[in-house]
Amino acid sequence: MREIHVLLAEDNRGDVLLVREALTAHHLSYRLHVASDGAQAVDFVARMGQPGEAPCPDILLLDLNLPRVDGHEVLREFRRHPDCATTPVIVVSSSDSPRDREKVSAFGVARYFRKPTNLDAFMQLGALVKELTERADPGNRDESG
Amino acid sequence: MDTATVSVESLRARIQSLEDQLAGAHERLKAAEADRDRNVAAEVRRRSNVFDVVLSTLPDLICTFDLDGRFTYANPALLGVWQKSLPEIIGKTTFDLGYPPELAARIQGEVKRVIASQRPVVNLTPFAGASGEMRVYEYIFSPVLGSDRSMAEVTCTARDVTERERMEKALAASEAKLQQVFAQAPVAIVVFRGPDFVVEMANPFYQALVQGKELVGRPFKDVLPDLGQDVWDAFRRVLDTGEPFVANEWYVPYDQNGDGVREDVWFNVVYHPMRNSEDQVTGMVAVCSDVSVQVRARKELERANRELEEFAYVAGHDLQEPLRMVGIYSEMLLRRFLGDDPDAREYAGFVRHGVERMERLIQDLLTYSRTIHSEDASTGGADLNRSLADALKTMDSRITESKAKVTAAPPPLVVGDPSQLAQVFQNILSNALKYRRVQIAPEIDISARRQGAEWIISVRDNGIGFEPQYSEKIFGLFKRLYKDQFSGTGLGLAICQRIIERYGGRIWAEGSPGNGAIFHFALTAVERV
Repeated sequence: MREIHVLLAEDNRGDVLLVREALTAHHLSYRLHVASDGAQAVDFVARMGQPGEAPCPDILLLDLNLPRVDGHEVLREFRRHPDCATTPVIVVSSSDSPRDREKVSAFGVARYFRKPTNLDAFMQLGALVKELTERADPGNRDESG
Repeated sequence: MDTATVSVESLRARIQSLEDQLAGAHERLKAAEADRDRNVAAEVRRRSNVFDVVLSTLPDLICTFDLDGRFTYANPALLGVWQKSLPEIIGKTTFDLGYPPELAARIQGEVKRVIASQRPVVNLTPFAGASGEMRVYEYIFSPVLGSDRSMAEVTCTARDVTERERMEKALAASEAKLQQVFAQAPVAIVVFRGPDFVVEMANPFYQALVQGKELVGRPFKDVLPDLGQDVWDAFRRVLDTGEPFVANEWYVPYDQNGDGVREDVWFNVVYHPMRNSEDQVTGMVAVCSDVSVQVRARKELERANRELEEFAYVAGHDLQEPLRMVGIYSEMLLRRFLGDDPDAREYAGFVRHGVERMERLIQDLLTYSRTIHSEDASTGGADLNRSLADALKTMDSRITESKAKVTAAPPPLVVGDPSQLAQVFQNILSNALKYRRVQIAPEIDISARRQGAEWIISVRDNGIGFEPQYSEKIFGLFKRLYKDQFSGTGLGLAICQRIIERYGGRIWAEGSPGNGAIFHFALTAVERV
């Protein structure tokens, strides 16, 4: 199984751990790049794909409510990267507000995953990642990572 | 012939002839004089007749007094008032004619004064003639001088001014009343004249608005030079078009307290044109009430409400995060480390239960705060048919589960948001199912009736009902009448109330223990097109 690169922008360490659990629970072979605030995420996006840096991720898991730089800004920067125009993005948020959903829909968000209070429900995030990364045709992807 | 004799003779004859001529002339002259005297007498008689006619037909009362204050003449009008004939009054005084003693004395005194001063006296008196009817007379005593410039007589002309007096009194009373209204009206009133809006009058309330500045007689531009152009435009329009101008909560900043800084003030105003007898608009009356206090209070309330809503919204989200951690990680603890330990499972169950309940509370709080985020308020119509159908669909499993029977007459179109009104139905239905009687299948009936411009929707159930004294309390936040037996957050009806009130409607409930409850809500009707 191909190892996938997952970029996770999340400031809550509890949620980072849960994302790992969810990916593992669905037997994904993955490498998780964690940006614990918006600024780190933007920084990662600026450098990714360059020699000596991490490759462009296969999927972005993005919390909208990030410190320093807000999630919408991170998404905008990510989409600006020439290799990430169509990369799947899952917004992982505790917000259920239609306003937030609307704001990100313009940037081609694949899924909107509302953080549940139930463990099993949270584990479903792994299935979602699996579905979205398997759907992407591996032949067209940059395998440099 | 002696020429001297002839001369004497002829001279005598001439003298005789001249004497004759003179006598003739004298005769003619006497005749002419007699003729003239006759003419004068006739003229005097003619005049006298004219005066008699004039005096007898004048409605004014006329009489003359001699120098002892006795009547020497009274015209028919006055005789009529007395109901006496001329001979009956000649030589009598006012005392003799039975005038009230005080008035009689006053008149005699006034006649004396005229005689002494040779100047007229004017006065006013009530007097009841023979008819007994009290009338008011205005009269003038005038001196009449003889040919030697000495006092001959005193005339009196009196006019019945009862009607004039009555009208003057009525006018004065009505003016006083108007003046009182004007002065005591709890609104500011000002009257302007002419194209420069010169202040004609201003009541104390208006005076207060301009902090006692000099007003009357000044062009308004001089009084309040800093008034906004929109006010002048409105003034001008009233004068030009003759149409009244009305504005509510009009923002009219001006320097109210004279400190050189314009204050924020709001007014309800009516500017009404005033017309002259030719129907031309010559001025304007402005009625203004200062509603700044109300407007400020409302703005403050709106701000406080917005902040509260924002707070509830943010707090709702921020409360969810730690709760999620508690829920998920307690589950993780149980699975990883405690396994099948029965105590651990029980404790974890309590944690789970607490988390779920807290979650529901937060969800309801969020819904509640969302319903009062006024910027989302839809102003269109809502088809209650659709709202009810949506609510029934959401409630489907619970309705089936409880074997409830729901009947509904097709509800109408009302002002509101369909999905929010679905929430209202859902919450009321949910209550009806929750508070059912043991062993009795719930029966819920939904009906609508038109009342004026509103539809009143009623949802009746056959559940446990409630004590009538709680009919208002149940709409309060977190109010739960039956805490232990029934789950719930106590927000459902509060949400219903917020939604209904947001669309200008009312919601209320009727109930008695054991007899079910009826929830009514009234919303403005929208006609089907």
